[in-house]
Amino acid sequence: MNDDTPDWLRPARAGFARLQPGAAQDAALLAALTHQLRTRHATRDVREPRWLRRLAWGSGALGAAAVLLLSVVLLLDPPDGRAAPLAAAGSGFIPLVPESELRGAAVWLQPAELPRERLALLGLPFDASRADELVRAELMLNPRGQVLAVRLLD
Amino acid sequence: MLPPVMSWLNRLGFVAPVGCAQDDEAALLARLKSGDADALALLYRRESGSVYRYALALAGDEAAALDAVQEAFAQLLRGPQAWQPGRGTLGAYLAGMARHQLLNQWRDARRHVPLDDEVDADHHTEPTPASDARLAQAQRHDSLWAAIRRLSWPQREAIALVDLQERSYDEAAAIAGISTDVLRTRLHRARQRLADLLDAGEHP
Repeated sequence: MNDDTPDWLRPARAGFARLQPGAAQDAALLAALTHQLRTRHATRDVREPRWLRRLAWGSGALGAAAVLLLSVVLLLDPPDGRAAPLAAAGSGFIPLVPESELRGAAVWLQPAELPRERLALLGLPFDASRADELVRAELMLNPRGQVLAVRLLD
Repeated sequence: MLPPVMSWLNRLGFVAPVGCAQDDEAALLARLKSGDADALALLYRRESGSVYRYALALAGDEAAALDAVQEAFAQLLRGPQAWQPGRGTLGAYLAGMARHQLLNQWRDARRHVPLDDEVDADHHTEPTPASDARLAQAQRHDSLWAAIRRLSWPQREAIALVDLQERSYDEAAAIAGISTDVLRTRLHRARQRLADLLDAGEHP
């Protein structure tokens, strides 16, 4: 506690401590927050089972996703897409490889959800308080499964 | 030092040791992460009053203060892992979130928010002894509140955090995003300005 508060100001503490929102407003605010908590957890539970969520946040999650993605890509013929036009300025794609690797390559677009914390690795603004949220994105892959570029949809 | 948390126990006169309080906060937060609404209610009851008063001191407006409280807790729900017990109390974290929300509101509204002490930079008078009139004015809550509202944002914040909420200098500086030296200087000017206002009765 700081003891240098002037004597004439000390009595104000009690009055200040009594300031409260109205009971109805207080209850409404708590109800809104409770609703937000329940909605958030209900959505999360529907979206994925708990064991998968734990896996997703584990250190091996990224590797597992990459292996799965690679398997799918290798089993399917790539569509007739070309990387350079897709990754051109204004498309919203952030190149992750040198432009020479993008030019003329056949590509595959794969929807994905990235943890928001990955945005920091892309050099994008990052809000630590929302690190656990997922961001919808599109990954641009070549036939070998290499991620060439990423586009954020949210 | 008492924990700066305005817990319901504190309100009733009970005081818990600091370490105990922080362990308890961490346990409650763990329950919150798993979606426990009872944990939310308990945390809300403990922390919301203090955050509300701080926001009210800054905003001077009940609706804005309530919005700030809601946003602070909403941020906690969205990312409970953002609070690190070793870096301050949960109350301080929530106060910081409320402050952030208020600043955003004002910036969005393009209202001028003086973030330094330039407004009162010429108030370098030496502290004067407390007069009976000032003491009487300070004891009248309405008068004091009106005078506080006439202070600049940084000065209101310093008075609210240190003198009214009894937070330590380190914690108050962390919430305000300034060094403790700047906080001390700001607080000195704020007290002087407040004393002048109360002495002069220059408030509605």
